[in-house]
Amino acid sequence: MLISYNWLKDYIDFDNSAGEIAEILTMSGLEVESFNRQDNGDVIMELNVTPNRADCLSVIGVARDVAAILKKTLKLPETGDFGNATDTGFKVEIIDAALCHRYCGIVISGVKVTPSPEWMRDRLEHSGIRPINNIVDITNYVLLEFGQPLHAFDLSRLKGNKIIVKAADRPQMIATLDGIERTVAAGTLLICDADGPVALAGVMGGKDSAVTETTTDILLESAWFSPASIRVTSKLTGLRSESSFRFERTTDIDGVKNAALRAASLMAAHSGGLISEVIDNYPNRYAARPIAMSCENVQKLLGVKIPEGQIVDILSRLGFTVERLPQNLLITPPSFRRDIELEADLIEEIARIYGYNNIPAVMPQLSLAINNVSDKHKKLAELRHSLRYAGFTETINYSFTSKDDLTLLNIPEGDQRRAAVTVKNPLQKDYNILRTFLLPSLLKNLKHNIAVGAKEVNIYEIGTVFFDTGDEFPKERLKLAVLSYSGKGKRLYNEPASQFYSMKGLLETISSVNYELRQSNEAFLDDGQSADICIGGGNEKVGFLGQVSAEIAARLDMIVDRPEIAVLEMFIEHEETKPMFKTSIITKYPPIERDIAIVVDDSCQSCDIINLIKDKRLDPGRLVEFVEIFDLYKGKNIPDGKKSLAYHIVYRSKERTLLESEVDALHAEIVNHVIGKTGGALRA
Amino acid sequence: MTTLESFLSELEAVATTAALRELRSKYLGKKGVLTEQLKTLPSLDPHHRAVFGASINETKKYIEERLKEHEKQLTSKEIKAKLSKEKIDITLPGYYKKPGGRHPVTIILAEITDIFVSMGFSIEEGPEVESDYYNFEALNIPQNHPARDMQDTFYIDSNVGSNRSGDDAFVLRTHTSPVQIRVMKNSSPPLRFIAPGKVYRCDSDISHSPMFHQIEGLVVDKDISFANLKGLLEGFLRKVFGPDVPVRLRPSFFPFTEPSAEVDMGCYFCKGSGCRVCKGTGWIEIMGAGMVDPRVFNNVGYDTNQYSGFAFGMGIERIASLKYGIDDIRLYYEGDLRFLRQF
Repeated sequence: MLISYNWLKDYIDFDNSAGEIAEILTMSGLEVESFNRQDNGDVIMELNVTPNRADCLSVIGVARDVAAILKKTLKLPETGDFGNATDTGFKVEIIDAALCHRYCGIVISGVKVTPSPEWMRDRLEHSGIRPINNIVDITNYVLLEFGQPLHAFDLSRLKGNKIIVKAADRPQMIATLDGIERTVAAGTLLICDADGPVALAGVMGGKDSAVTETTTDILLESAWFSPASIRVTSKLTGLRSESSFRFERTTDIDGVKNAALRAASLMAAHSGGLISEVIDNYPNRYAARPIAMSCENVQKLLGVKIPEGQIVDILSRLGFTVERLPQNLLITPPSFRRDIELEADLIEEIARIYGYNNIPAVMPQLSLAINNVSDKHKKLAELRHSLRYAGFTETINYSFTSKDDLTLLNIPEGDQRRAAVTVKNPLQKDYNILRTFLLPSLLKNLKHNIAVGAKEVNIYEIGTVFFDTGDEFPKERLKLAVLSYSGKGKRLYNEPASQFYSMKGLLETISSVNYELRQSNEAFLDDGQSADICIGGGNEKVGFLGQVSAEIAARLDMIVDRPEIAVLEMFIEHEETKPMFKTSIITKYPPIERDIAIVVDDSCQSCDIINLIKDKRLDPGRLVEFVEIFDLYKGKNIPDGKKSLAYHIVYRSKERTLLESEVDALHAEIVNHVIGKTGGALRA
Repeated sequence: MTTLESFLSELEAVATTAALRELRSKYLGKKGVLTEQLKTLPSLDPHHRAVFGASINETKKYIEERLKEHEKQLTSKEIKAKLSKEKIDITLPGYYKKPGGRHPVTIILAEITDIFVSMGFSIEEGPEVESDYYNFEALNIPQNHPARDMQDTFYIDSNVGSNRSGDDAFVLRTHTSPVQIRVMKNSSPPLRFIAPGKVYRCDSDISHSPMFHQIEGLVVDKDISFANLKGLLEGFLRKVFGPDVPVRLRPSFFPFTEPSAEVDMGCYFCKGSGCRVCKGTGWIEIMGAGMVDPRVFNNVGYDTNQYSGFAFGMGIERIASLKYGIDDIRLYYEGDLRFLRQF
């Protein structure tokens, strides 16, 4: 809200500079967000008025706080007394008193609609309101002054000499002041005349009953509407006005008539009108609710002792009624402070006027607590550390994505990743679902980086994914995704392994779980270079790794030819707990080492040969301690469709020194076994 | 010239270990000079034999020593020569993977977490898709209340969760405060924890992102006061931003705290003299805080006569931006390596 420094001076005598006033306001809860000096010497301040402080959506409301802090008297404007107005026969009928607690109507006759005086137009403009004519301007001026929204009807346009306040019993049409024909929902509070709606209560007046240059008689409306009702009307119609903004935060019900009288007296003075009748229909009276408060509790909650006299003084200056009881104080908030309901609310009032700066800073005295960082957070920190030193940079992407991303990566219907959670009001169309996997985000990061000239992109993300399982809450799980891209270009040192094996190696480095890799049929990965990451003996798939297929890579529309992109993505819950383990004995007996090189079919997998070498049926004494592949060769001297694999085997007993002869015998047996089962041949 | 003299002069000319081996065999080999001389001994008379034999052996010993000594020198000289031939360029880069960049949000989260864990706070979490109840109602933000306008909310499509029983609306949590409710409902006081995580607001520009990170903190115990809140937050901010940073609390409004405070710290950039970042005020808003509203304690069944507490919340990107001078929040989410590798 915009507030003028000079205008504040109408209600308080003070010598403080505008800068000092701004500081006072900020430090008492009305934050000054901007401070602009005007040519006329005034200063316009923009206040951030929090939703609880409806009373400060007016100059007098703000002045009241300033006066309380400066210990000054608040001077309120004259409103005039029109006790001997005549009975014009105009009636106000409130049908829905639950939504309209009070409606005050003043009939003013013989007005002359002209521009309002310059000082008033200035104040309106500096408060962000466009001047229109003296009648409308006065309603707005009093709205700014007291915070009470007012509306002026052209009396001659109101049919049946009456106002009826009621909720629409069916959807109804009304043309509002802004010239738009609107249909409002049933339940919307309307101001009607004998024929139908003439205003959307608390939000905007009707076009047909608006004050024009030819208007001579008016009905001035000042009312109290239920905040929730006005908020719903405003939301449903999409109409926000200075009035609705104040009504939905609640207005001062006891000030309804006073504000109307203030406006009427201004109209009498500036438009030549005569106050003909003052109607005040107040069916739903405000009942003040006293709150018991103890000074001891003030001290307990704030951590500072404020003398009772000072507490009483602060609350009185803010307009609260204070009654001293034997045990405590009984405080009655004024009608403009409906936000004050509990003792804690009162304590905040005391604290903000006492000054937060005057409350000491004291570290809390708490008992010791052992709150170790959970295994999960430790593992996440470890993962990030390992990935960083493996050369990967962490990215964080929005949780939003779109179905197009799923389609782009050929995710089939029925796949778990299609069970996405939809956002009702997305910021943009391609952000309308929540991520079910992270890869699309990393591919976007890749694209961005290549576009800005990166030759190598090694990135990862750890983030939540969301699945709609039909349950009340979506299923949220944590995932890790890694992407590695290395553009074609000369390098001083060559990478020793292919992208697939680098990614597999990364998995083995960062993981504390024994994963099994299975042939993957992910539609976005290269058939020949991809694997599913499984646990539970290969039964449960927790992720995938491999090379993005050429088809998908081409779709990414990147400026490089056939980019080779290795990716890995997996759930990481099962990484979170490390089982306890005991060390194994380091044996003192010497090993005997043998190698085996065998030529087998291309389709033969290395792990099959290792399993054959480790076959317990051949080696009941478990003398094979360790097996490792050390060579893979295809090409010269090896027939087409075949490959040569070479393994290094370490034989050792935990109980004794082995004899060369027994190892030779076992080794020969193993070699025969491998050849027999694979149909291979020893490499010459 | 004696045998020894001729050996010594020949030794002087030897420059390689190979030549040395030849010299050794010439004098000490099976057909070497000294071996031949020893062969003549049996023909001498006993008296001469003893004298001459001793002299030959002495010469032999001496030659052996000189050969060994010379060999040592030559070997070391040859190794040196070999090494200098194979000398490498030590200025070439080492073969290693350059470490990747850390995400600034992760760095700040870890830094803040460490400080609170050191004070015995635990780390709690909650879901990112929340029910209206946890995100709003239980935090004293009722339906149709203007306080709802304080946060632009993303709503979840009502078709999600088809087996849902109630008609509670679901949202992407707008703050980490719902974790307060979840933890309090599941445990009894006293407690102290922080809850870091992603939050969502329907807003996007240079300083607003539809997704960002917050850390929530909650302390509930007997005799917890506003003065304690001030003490803890001052201590925390001085740990993060330096021991001399001025901190002030000023009244504000959050539906779930009473009294509520906005926490400002002295502008990091102008040191209080006023600049663009602090809009000339010398202060920067850094977090929101307050004493837990009794209405919230009632919602979770805590006895307000016995317990009090405070809560605070801060935006991680905001703190990172201040620390690292980042002026566009979108940089955090583009994954641009030119940005991320600086951390």
